[in-house]
Amino acid sequence: MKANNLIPHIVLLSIAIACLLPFLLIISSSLMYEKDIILQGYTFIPKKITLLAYEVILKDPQQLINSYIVTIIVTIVGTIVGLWLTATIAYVLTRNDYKYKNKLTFYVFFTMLFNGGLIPSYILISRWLNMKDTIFALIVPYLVIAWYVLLMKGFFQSLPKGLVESAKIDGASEFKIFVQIVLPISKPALATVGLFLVLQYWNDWWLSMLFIDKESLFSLQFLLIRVMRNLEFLNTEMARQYLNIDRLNIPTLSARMAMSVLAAGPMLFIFPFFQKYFVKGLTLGSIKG
Amino acid sequence: MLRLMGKKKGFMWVLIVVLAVSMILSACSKPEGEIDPVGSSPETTATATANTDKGSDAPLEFVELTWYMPPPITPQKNQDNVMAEVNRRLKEKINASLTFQFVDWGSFDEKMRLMSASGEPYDLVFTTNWSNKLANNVSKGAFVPLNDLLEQYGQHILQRIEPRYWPAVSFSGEKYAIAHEMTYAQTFSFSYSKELVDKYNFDYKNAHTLKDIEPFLQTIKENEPGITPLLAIGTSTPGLITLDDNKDYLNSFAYYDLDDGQIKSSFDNEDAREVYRTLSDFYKKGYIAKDAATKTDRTLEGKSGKYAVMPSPGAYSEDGSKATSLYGFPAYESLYARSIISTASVQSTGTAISKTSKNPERAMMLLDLIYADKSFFNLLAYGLEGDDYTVVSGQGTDNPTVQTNAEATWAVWHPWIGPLFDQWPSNWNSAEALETMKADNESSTVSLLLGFNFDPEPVKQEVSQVQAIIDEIIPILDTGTSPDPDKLLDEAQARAENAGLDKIMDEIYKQYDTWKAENGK
Amino acid sequence: MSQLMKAIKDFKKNFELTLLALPSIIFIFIFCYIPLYGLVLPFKNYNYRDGFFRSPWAGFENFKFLVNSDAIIRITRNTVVMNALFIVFGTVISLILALLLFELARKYIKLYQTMLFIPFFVSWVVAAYAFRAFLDMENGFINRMLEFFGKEPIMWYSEPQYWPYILVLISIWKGAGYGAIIYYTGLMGADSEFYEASRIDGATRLQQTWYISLPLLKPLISILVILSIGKIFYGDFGLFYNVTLDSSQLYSTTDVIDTYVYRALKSLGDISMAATAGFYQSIVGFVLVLASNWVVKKVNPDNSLF
Repeated sequence: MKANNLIPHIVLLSIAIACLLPFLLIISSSLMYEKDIILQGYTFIPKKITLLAYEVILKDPQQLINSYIVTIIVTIVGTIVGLWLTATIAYVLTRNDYKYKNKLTFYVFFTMLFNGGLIPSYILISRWLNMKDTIFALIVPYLVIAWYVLLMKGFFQSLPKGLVESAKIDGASEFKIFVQIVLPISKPALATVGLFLVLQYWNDWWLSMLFIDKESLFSLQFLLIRVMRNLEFLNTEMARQYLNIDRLNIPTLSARMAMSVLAAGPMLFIFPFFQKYFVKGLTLGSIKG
Repeated sequence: MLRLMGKKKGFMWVLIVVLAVSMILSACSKPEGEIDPVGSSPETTATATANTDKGSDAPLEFVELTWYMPPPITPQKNQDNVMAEVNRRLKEKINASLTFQFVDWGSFDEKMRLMSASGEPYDLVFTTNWSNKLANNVSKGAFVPLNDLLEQYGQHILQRIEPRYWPAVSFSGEKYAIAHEMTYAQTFSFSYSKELVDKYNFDYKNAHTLKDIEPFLQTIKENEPGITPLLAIGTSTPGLITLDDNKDYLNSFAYYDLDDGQIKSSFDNEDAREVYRTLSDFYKKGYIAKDAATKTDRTLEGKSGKYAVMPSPGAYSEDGSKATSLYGFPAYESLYARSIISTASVQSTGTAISKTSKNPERAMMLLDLIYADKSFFNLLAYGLEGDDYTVVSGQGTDNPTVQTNAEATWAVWHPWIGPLFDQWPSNWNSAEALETMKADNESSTVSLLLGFNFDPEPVKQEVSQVQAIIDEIIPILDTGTSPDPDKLLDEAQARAENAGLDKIMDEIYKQYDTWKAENGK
Repeated sequence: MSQLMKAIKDFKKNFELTLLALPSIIFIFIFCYIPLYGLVLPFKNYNYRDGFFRSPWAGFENFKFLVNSDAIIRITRNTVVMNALFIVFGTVISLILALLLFELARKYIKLYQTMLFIPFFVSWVVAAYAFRAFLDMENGFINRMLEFFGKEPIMWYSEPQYWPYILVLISIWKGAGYGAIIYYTGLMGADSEFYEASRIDGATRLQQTWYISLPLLKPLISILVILSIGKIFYGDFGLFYNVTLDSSQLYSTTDVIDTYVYRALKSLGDISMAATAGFYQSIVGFVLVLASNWVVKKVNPDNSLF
């Protein structure tokens, strides 16, 4: 048994390392001096190490903390509400005895390919629903995404059908069946889609760009992107025309890498939380027992 | 498939409901006097422009104004204090308050387009020929025509800006933006590494073309193995145009030749072809980096110190100070081109009033105040004394010399909001520098086509295709990467003609003739 | 009459489930269906004054810049071929990874999953810089290695013939971990009794994989493939624009619909024309999904999307 595991280990380890290499490069170049990057290119082991890039990004901690809070709230609320909405409709779509199953699937799927474009959505959210400059604008647009609904449907499809049927015979309501039977045995599926929702919210800067003018509501990624773009601008001759300050050492290349590290970093803590639910054999046995 | 048809029928119902709901929503939510982007109501309400004649002595109602522009710097740490002082003065003068909304560069165009397209209210906005383009906005109807407003509330502006510049921001006789006073003619210089020039004793002062610098490039190539002689990079390669280049570039593929008064396509630009041949020759000789066509950041490249000759630092400075400051090591400069004053150069910083503004006349009053009140203008630009700058001399006069603090806590570039030459002299621009710029404006060549704006709308299908072709070849041509630039250009020309280049040129001519007739040229 | 009665009866019978899904149905209606009036955009000459419904009609005029372009064949071919390769290789590699993970004990799974998933976190802009470190013509690792072994360095960013391979590799690097997690989750739903039973019957692990795991994943695989076929006309802009450094010398293999539209419209900024490209992509994707769903349904109705 143990020896058999060798082949998966070797294959996975080599692929995982290949995945990791470019990321290691990102970490090491976030610690490099700008000039060294330009002259020698990105290297795995920098000759000289500096934390300048991080210092520049973290210069304004108050705003950064504020944005972390905004992003955390948005992520938690968005993921919980989004998961409920996604799971309920996805579950209904897997019930073969549901009369409108195909029509409703089509109704969901259609929105994956066709949308009215940016302007109508913008008008809807900012002018008709008056969500501009509120935290709702950062949460609401991603709550139900067709792709996650259909993915969830795919997961639910492989659940044993017998459970639901026997519960129905026992006279349980659909709501009760969903909450007490379907959800508990679908933990891996919920964890996966939940993880994707977390990522979606955590990585989002687009909604902040569109709907937020108030700095106190900037999400983390948008704040980082703004810092980045500001650094880039300070390196242009236009900025120099006006600002007579020595800005030779403004790190743009290494700062971009540092930002990526800061953005991906929290994932290392979030990920294990979801992995807890990736457990084999949580199905029939655990319920019956 | 039959079952699908059945599904479609149900779907039609969904669509019908959608349409109905969106119409109702758009009708309900439309406050009085605002633009309605969905346009379901039968009659658009005209925006309240200057036609409401307010008596000047009637008390003005308090209004809030918003001004969108890219961030000159971020974060603007002292923003709250500066704006408090600005608003204190504004309340006194025109009973209004102002909020600057700084939208970062990468999002600015998209955000403004969205806001205009969706009818979102905002008052003032930064518009130019290169970002949030004026001509596009005017042809889509995003801005308020300013003639009446200027007449009524903007006398200081009218008195200040020279009449010859107004046509650049006018469309069919209506002014649509205020092109703030600044340096309209740009200068371009070769930047040289001082160390290398001194080492090989190159007479850079008399080098004004690519051919002139070739001996230097050759010397470097032969003697300095670690150095790439020339930093060539798409659209920024130094020497692409020359001092006797008398052309007004209307867009990336058409130009007006001041020498013979003809409008031509860029494919017929013999001067440019000659430059491309030279660059291609340079590339073959190894003066240009092999991967030049994929480089995009000239400042970063230049700062590395890997090059002997680098692109222009933005403007020519005789002592090389601009290049020294940009690249971060001692540098020399020599002039290689001087642009002419054209529609494009006058449009390079401007302010417009949005069609969605609820108070266009108050927005104009604010702009007029900036032109009338020098200290208010400098407050907006420099911030607060002590917090953001210190007075070096002339304390108490209307034109003190100031020094901005080492850490920039507030800055708005003067030409983005008002007349540059009302700027207090500072470390940004000395009094002499301002004088020189002023004199340059007077002495520069002015294009005969100043005031002609080509509207691509009637031929936009063709323009976009030709644009895509041009963008494909420019990085290759500008870096000499193509072994045979003439062949590349000829092929691209054939493709562009297929895509309707001739139709575009005809349209340009047609608009040009109309414009000439209207303006009696 | 009896039809109406039947409809009411059906509705009553399905009422509870409908109610369960109702919040989502309403949500989708508001946020996805109401904005659908924007679909008129491609056929309009949109201007801000007149808005959506009163801007003048343009018929199919706006499609001209795309359809008449001499690049249309090139960009369509690149988009479809590259996406097809991404679908095939992405699915196969993700499946293999998921099946391998499934064989392992939990403590290792955590480590591998995390490592595999990291690239998904890296934006394309940053990824482009990282890959440049490998492919850079002067300082890149690969060229340095080639030189070390006495080979001629390769001008990666100006030689289009290598890019289909490079792009497939990079897209797998970025997405395989994501796909693996999805399929791994699919396997979680399996009833462990199947495996117990088969082990008692003396099945090898390869047999288990082939006869139990894969059939179990079939519905999931077919849904995901059908959905990605729907997106086959969408080029991943971040990948094709950033990672290639937008090098125009590579366009013969890397120019896709999205990068072309970006290039053609970035100076005009025309909203209607930009919308046409999206419409074209949606329509084709829609037809392809209906077709592939129909095929899947013929083979096995359980695996179809709807």
